[in-house]
Amino acid sequence: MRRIIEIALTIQRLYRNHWLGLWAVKLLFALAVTLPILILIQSRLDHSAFAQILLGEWPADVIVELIFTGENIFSASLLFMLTIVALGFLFKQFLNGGIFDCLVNRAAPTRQRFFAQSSVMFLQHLTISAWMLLIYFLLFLTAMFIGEMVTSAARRLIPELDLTRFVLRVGVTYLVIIVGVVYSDLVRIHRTRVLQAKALSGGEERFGLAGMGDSFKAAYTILVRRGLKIFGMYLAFYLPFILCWLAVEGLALIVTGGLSNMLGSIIEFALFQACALVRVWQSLACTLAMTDFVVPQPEPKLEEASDRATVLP
Amino acid sequence: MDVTWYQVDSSYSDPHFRLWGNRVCDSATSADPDSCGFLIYSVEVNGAQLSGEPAVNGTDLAIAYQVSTPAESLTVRILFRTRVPESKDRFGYSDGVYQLDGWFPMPAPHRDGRWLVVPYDDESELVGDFYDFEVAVEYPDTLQLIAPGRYLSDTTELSLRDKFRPTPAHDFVMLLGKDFKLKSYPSEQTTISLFYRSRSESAVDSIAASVKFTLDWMADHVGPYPFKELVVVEAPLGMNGGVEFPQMYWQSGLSTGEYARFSRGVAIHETLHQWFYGIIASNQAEEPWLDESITEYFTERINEAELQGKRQHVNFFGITASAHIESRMRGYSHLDRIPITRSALAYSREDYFPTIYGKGPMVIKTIVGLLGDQEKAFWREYYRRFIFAHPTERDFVALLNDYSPFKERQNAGNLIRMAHAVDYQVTNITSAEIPESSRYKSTVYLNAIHPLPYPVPLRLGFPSEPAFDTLITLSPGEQTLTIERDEPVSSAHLDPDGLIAIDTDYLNNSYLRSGHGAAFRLFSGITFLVESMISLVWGM
Repeated sequence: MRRIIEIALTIQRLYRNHWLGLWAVKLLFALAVTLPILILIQSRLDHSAFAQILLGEWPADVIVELIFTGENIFSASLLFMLTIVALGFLFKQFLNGGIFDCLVNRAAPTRQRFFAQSSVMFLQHLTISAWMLLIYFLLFLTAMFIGEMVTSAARRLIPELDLTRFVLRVGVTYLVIIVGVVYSDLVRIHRTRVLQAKALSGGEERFGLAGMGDSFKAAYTILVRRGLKIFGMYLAFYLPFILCWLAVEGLALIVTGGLSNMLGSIIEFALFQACALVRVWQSLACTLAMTDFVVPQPEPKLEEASDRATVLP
Repeated sequence: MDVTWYQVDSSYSDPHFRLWGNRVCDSATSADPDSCGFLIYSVEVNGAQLSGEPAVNGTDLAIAYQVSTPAESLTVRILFRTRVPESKDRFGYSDGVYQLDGWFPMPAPHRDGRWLVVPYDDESELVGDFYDFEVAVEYPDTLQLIAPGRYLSDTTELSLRDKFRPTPAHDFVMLLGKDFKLKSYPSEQTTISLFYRSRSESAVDSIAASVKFTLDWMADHVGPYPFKELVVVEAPLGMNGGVEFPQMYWQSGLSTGEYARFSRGVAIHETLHQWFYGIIASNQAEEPWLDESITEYFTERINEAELQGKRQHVNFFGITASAHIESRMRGYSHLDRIPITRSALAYSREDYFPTIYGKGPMVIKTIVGLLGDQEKAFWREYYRRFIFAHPTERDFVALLNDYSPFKERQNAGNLIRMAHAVDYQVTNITSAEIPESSRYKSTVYLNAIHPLPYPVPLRLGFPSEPAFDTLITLSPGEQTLTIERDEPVSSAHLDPDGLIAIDTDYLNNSYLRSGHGAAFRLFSGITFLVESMISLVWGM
C-alpha cells in the first residue's frame, strides 16, 4: 500500500507533464474523428424535437434514425475513425521511447531528450507491438476457452441471469488480456534498460533489433517468478480506475437526467475527460510500478538527465 | 385419410392435394430423397378405387375425377405412408423429436370456384381451408404425443391411441418426443397447456403470463380466442425461433433473466398468429403481409401494453429503445422500395424479411394512426366478418374504405401498396412583430415528399402560451403556414405522436427555433468512446 501511494505521488511529482500531455494527445486524436461528426450532425439534431430526448438519455431510436438518414455519415466516419486509431497506435509506438526512457530512469527529462528517445526507440517498440499482436491473439483464444468454462459453471448456479453471465465472461476475458498488457510492459522496460546500459558502456552501437528475443525471454521469466505479485499490483491500480469510471458514468447519468440541457452535457463532457485523465494516470502508475521488477529500485530523486548521455546512435 | 366436401359442384372436379412434406425431401434439400416424403398407395373417390398410379408431381397430388352434376358430397380416401426425414424443419426428426407439419395429404384450398395450387415457400405457413378434423393416432408408449384438441386417450399393451378434434382448423400438426413436462394454466376461457424441457422450468411462468396477457388483450381489442385450449411447445427450432399452427405454436429458446423479453416477444408474436393465420386464415403464401405484418404490428402494441405505461422497451444504464425501433430498423431500407403486397415467392430472401416484418408493421401502424379512435371498431369488424374465413387484400381494403379518412377517397389500397418514400419536414420558422400591435406574425416553412392525401397533426409551440394543435393536409413540395398570435411561434412539429410510421425521417418533422445542443451530447459520448478505443490500443 505504501508503495502504491509512493508511485502515485511520483507520477504527480515527476511525470505530471507526461500525464497531461498523453491525455491531451489522446483527446486530440479523438477530436480529429468527432469534430467533423459534430459539424455534420449539428444541423440535423439541434433543432429537432425528436432528438431533444438525447439531452437526458441515450435513445437508440434517435441514434438509429440519425444513422439511417445520415447519408453514410457514420460508415464514412467509422472508416476514418479506424484510420485515426491506427495512426494513433503508430504514434504511441513513437511516444513509447520517451515514456519508457523516463520511467526506467525515474527522471523527468527535457523535451529534447524525450523526443530523441522516442525517435531512436520507435522501431524497437513497433517490433515489440507486432509480436504482441500474436501473443494477444493466443491470449484471446485462451480467454474464450476459460470464459466458456466459467459461464458453463455459472449457468448451473445462476441459470436466469443471462446478462450477468455475459458480463462475467467479458470480465474473465479482460483478466486474461491483462496478462498480455503486463508482459508487453515488462518486455519494453527490459529492452529499454538493456539498450540504455549498452549506450552507457560506451562504444559505437548501431541501432538494431539484435537481442530482442532476450527481452521477451527475460520478461517471461519475470512473469513466471513474480506474476502473482505483478498481477496483484496491476489490479491494485486498475480497480480504482474501474471504480472511478463507474462513478463517472453514474454521475453523468444523474447530471444529464436531472438537467437535460446543454449545461448537463458540458458537465458530462468534463466528467468523461476526468475519467480519461485517470486512465492515463493509472497506466503510467502501473508501468512505473513494473519497473521495480525489471530494474533495481533506486531511491527516487528529482534530477535532470543529460541531453546526450544515453541517447543511442 | 378421408376428406369429405358437401354441396359440391363441378368446380370440385379433379381435386388437388398438397404433399408439403415432399418439399423438404426433394433432391436439393435432402441427402437421400428416397428416405423421406410421401408414398401414395391408393386413392378412392366416393368408395370407388381409382385405377392407375396416383399423379404425384412434387408437392402436388392430382385426382382425376369429374363432378359432372352438383352432388351432396364428395369423399376422397387416400391410403398413404409418410417417411420423416432427419431435419429441423416443420416436418422432420431432430434431437429425439418428431415435428410433423404437412405430414398428411392436405386438400388444396378451394377458393373462388377453383383449386389453388399453392407453391411451398420456406418463409410462409401451409395454406388450407377450414375443416372439421377427426384424427386418431396410434403411437408407441415410449413417446409423448402433443397436439391440440385431444379428447380421448386409450392405452393398449405397448401403444397409445389418442383422438383429436381441433375443429374448425385448416391444419393438424403433431409433435412426438420424450421428456416433455406439462404445466397447465387454466382459465374460464382458455387453458394454456405448456410443454417444456426441465432446463426451461424457470421460464415457463413468464411465457405463460405473456400468452395469457395476449389472449386477454386481443379479446378486448379484436375478438376472443374461440377455443378452449392453446398448446405451447418448446421445440428444437434454433435460437429464439417460433412457428404457429392452428391452436398450437412451437417456440425454442425459453430464456429467463435479462433476455426474457426476447422469449416473451416470440410468445406474444406466435400467440397473435392464432388470430391472423389461425382464425382469420388469409393466404400466407400469396399475401404474407395480411398475417405477418399485422401480427408484428400487434406484437409491438402488446409489448408496449405489457410495459404498463413505461415508455421504453429497453432501459439499460441510460440507453433506451422503444418497442417500435425493431421494425423501423428492419424495414427502414425498404420504405421507399418494394410494396408489402407481393406474394412470398415474389420477394428475394434479402427483401422478404425487412419488407414483411419491418415495413409491413409500419404501414399497419400508419393505417391505425389515421383511423384514430375508430381503430378498435375496425379490428372488431374485421374479426367479425372474417373469423373462420379467408380474407384477401381486397377484403381488407374494402373494409378499411368504410372508415375515415379513407372513406372519402376510397383509396386505402394506395397506402398499402405504396412503394415510395414519404417525408414530412419542418424546415424553418420566422417571426416578426406586427407594427403597432403587440402581436406576432409567424411563418412556418414546410416541405412534403410524397405526402399522404390525409390530414396530419401539426403542433405549434409558444414560449408561454399553450401549444396549438391542428390538422393539415400537405401537398407535395414546399409550402408555408402563416399564423398571427400574441407570441411568436417557438416550435412546430408535424405528426408529434409518430402516427405516420412510414415517414422516412423523424428528425426533420419538427423545428425548434432555439437549438437545444443535443448534438454536443452525442459528440461528447462519441469522443469518450473513441478515446476508450485509443486507450485499448495504447494500453493507456
